[in-house]
Amino acid sequence: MRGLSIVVVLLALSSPGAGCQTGATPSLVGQPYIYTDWESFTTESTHGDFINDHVFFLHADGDSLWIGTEGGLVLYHDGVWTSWTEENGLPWNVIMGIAKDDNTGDLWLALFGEGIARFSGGLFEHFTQMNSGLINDVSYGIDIQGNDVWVASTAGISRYNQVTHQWTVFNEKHAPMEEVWAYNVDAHDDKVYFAVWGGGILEWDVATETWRDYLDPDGEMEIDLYRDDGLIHVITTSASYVDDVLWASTYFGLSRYDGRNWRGYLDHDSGLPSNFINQTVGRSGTSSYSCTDKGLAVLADYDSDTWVTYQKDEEGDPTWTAHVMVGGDEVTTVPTDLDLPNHFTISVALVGDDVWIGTGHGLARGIGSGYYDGLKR
Amino acid sequence: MRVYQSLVLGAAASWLSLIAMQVHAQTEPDTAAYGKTPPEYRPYYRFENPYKRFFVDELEYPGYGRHIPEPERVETVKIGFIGPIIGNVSESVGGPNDVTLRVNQRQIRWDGYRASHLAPLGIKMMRGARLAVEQANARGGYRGGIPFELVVRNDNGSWRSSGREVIMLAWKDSVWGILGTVDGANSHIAIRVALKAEIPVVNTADTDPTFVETNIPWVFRNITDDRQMCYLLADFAFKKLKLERIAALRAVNRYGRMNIDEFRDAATRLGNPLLVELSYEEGDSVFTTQLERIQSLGADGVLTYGNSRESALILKQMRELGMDQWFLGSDRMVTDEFVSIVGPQHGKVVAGYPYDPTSDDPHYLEFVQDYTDKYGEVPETYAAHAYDGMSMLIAAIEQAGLNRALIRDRLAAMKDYAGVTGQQEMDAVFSDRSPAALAVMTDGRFEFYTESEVLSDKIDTGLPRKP
Repeated sequence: MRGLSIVVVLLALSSPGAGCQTGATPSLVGQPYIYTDWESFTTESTHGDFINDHVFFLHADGDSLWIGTEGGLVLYHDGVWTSWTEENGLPWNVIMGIAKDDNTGDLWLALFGEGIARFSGGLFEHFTQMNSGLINDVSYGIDIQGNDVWVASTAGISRYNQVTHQWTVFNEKHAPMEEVWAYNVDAHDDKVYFAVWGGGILEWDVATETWRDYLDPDGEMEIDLYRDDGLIHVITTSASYVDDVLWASTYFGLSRYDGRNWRGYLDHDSGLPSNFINQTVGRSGTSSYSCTDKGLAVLADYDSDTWVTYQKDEEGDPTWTAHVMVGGDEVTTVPTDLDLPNHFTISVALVGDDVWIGTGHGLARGIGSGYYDGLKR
Repeated sequence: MRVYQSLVLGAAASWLSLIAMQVHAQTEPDTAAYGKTPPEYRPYYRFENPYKRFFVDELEYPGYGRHIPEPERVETVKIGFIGPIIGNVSESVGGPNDVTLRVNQRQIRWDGYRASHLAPLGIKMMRGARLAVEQANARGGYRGGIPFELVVRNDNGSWRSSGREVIMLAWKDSVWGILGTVDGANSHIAIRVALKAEIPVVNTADTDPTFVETNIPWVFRNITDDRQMCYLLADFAFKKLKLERIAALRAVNRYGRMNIDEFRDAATRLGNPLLVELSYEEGDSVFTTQLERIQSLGADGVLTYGNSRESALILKQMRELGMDQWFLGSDRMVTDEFVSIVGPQHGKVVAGYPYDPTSDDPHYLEFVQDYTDKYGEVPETYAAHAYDGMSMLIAAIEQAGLNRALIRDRLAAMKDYAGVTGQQEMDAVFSDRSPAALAVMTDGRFEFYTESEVLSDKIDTGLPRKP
């Protein structure tokens, strides 16, 4: 009988939402790293060196950063800004994705409405649906896996083999795509993941050349039936695969999948300041960075559900504040010197110990002096 | 002992479920139902309270755009229009012939140049929008001094081009807002672009329920969607007519697949799941095989979702096969084309409709007169809703000034809008939730009934009336 009681208690503790009802004061298991020292960059603050404030994508390249903006391509390296626009050869100014081919050193760009481009030897080579096998010119994301360039576009997925020059396309006819509106891609040696708007997450197994889809198990757009039953919603915006763990962002919250169990995060039960997530990047299997429309949410430690969320609390505040949270409960706040005017974050990149965030108006670098993973106990 | 443990565990599980439901009940009030969904049509309503309900809190845009200053000088105030307006494009010439309509014909050319079968709808939409712009200019234009300019781009019905057209509207044409489009897939593509470009889009024609179920704060829809129309149709079919064995025969495209969804779910949730869901290709003319299968299953109603031509041919062939069941369908079959094809032997026919086109509201009658004077034809749903949508967009621009984010804010603030199509009620995701109407065919013409009339005895169902 005593065993039975334990079962019931365990069931109660593990039921969704049970933790929220206890009213107990949350406490930290350990101290997460907090970025308090920031540098901010806008066109105005750089006297025009940073050519456009509307950032769409960041790509870490060693100790450099590639920046895709609404007004061109930018490279930041050691305090120096270099930029390319339509005036000096860039085929189209609006850049939605960037990938670096480490084998060739080429840079590949997802051009929003104008296909893709390869930047090599100082020249841009332009691929469109009119001169190549690209399935559509509205490109949202791009990444490299081996010799293959993978493109997420609004009409499906394209793959270009740089050795054979062969194009392959995938849409509802060739892949388990409930919708074909590919939105983002994250490629690795063994797997390639796509966030498909309305189609959840698609996984490409490199070895077997087969697809697998991950959908919201409840099958409904207007609800999430159970918190941890699977992908939180099919309107996915990005996928990030690290340490055999998949992080999937949606405009309805964040999901984590370790190959066996799913975990869902919403704004009322986690450190997410909003369910509207533009991009999530996994730092590890236990830590991720989510760009929301109300700031940057860092899950610092999965096991203890410890978060650090960077927000501008009030419109008139000169700087952002770091909110340290356990689950959905705030433990403490820490001031930072991050002074970007708006916290609509769109993209994030990790350059060494530093974190870079791109917003709707400006770019910022959090300087990771003494950075450590997880929690300091 | 095993039985005892099972009982205790079962009781514990029930108790935990009850606790969980009470927790939800405290945080999710019943009145917050998305889409005015009646309790019996809500997903899993018999079994579980969802962990999270979406679309019940108003969408926000917390981004930066409001700080962008207005341009010092503009020659015109540009408003974008995207819709299927070209019925025939010459591949060799590369330009549009002037609206040669090819309704519902199969296209065999490469779809990059494929003509849109929705052009008849898109042209009416453009005419309604253009009338609103011209009337605004006749009143003096933007703030009494600058004319509005409609920048028109074609949505050719192919998934490969509509997104790029919206990109051009946003970044090349520099419009302040966009109206469009018709097709569900292309409308989805358009708003994903709008989200990145941060530009408001007013949709006046796409009745796909999922169109607004994307959390994009830049999207507005002023037409009652198929969620509302399906609920009304289901009410009529199951509660009024007491049908139990409905079979579906729908277009195989996204419109047929997605827009029928709420009826399919309602049927299941009321305990009368569809007997079968068969499909056909756009442009098909013979439906005998599917209808004979439906006949063999003993269906007491046939539901279709597709364009008017195919819907009419299905009905006509049903009657020729001696099938006298109720024929239920979408608003796309409420057309002169449908009436013309089906002829006088139409039998029992009913369709959802997004508004009452027989309204005697003076504002509506004035619009009908103006439209008829200008175009020589009576406006229908696509023209009327586009007129309203463009009028809303113009009003928002007048109030906000030349700033896309502020225009968005003004549109978001229009909770109620008295348009020519009636009183629009915008919900938390900016979609019109005003009641749908029911179009019932009587003596070769459609008659329209309100929501409250549907369950009354006003409609002759052929069933015994209540004493």
